[in-house]
Amino acid sequence: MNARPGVGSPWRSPAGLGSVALLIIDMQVDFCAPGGWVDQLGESIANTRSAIAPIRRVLAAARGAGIRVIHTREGHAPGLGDLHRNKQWRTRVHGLGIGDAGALGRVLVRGEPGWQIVPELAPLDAEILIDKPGKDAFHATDLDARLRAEGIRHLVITGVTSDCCVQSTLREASELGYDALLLADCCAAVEDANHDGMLDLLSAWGGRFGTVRKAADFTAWLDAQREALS
Amino acid sequence: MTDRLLPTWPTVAATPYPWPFDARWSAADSALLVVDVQQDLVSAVADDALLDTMEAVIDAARRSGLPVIFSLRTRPAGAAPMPEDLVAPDARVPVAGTPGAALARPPWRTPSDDLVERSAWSAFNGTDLADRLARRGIRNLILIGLTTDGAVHASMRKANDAGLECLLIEDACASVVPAHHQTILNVTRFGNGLFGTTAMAHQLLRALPES
Repeated sequence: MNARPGVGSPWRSPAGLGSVALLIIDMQVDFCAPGGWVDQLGESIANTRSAIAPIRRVLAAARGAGIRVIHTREGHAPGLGDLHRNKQWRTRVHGLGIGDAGALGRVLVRGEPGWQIVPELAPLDAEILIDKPGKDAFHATDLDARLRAEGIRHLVITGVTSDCCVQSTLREASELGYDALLLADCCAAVEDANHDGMLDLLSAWGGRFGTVRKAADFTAWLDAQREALS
Repeated sequence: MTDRLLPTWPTVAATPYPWPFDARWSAADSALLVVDVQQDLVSAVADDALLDTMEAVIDAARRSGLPVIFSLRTRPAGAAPMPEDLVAPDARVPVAGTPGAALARPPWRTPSDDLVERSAWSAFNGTDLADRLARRGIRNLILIGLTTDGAVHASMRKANDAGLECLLIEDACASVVPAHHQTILNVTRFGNGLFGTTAMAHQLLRALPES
């Protein structure tokens, strides 16, 4: 079977295995695992954890197809020189903010146990790691340069949280001219209403900031590409 | 001009916390950004009541000495036509210089007000807005305009990542779909203000000195 470019493509434009990158955003212990920051604050990690299994499946498919994989980690330098005062102040409202010592080290500080990517999604040596101080993965990072250096034009976006870092990254990717695809069943927010509302907003009119699909749409496309090459 | 010492104004009774976070703001370090209040977009999503509220905010800001900055979203004449599948009213960017691209109420803007123009969603992308704010020592940014979930949020989230302390005036902006406006308010306020705070126009006016 020959996959015709553009047919069944989950993006707006035709894509090939060499033009696509999978972006896994902030799947860190602090957001998604017992004992991490969100858990220590007494908030539920049920939703953020729920993204792990679907992302793991997409990651396996991406690795099998040999496409570029990029992991982001939200975090700050130990000296907190890259942490805006208002951001730090806001996170301290419940007594444990960014940079403060918690049960799994200092919250969202690079190198600390809570800052690590959850073991289920552990990066491989060949995969790209982007450490970001902001919500948008392009802000103050070399993500754009690295994508362009590899000729990446199409992004597949997954991770947490859908209402914050994921949607910020999707929007900026679209602004920068990437054909961005959000996998709706591979992202999550702490609160259901914010997740559902954000997906609705992002999906409206066919997607103003990129397309929104399910994981199966992407893996079906991957399979078709691999068949065409075999 | 940060070499002037101005008394700080009272905080704005915003959600989820009184704005700004450090309770310090004045005409020396704050500004109002009026996002994309242009004819085409106004026809699609705004009514006179909304424009009147925006005008009240602009007037109060001006009387208080706050810098007022306007953004326009346009695409160059001769650019490729918009893709036909981009049908969202706030995705159809007007051509620069056409009547649909013009400010809906031209008297709002005085010649000395900064104006930034771009085709991107965010008023920062492809403009020198960040430089203009930095040059004036602006730390606090108030946002009104169109659309809440489009260019306003795009600009606010960019400003927030840059460390600006942002306030969204919830009845001085609007979305094509009201539910999307509410989603942005909810998401902005979550986590003790992921992107900043929100307040009603009357709450802002109460804190401004000359209103």
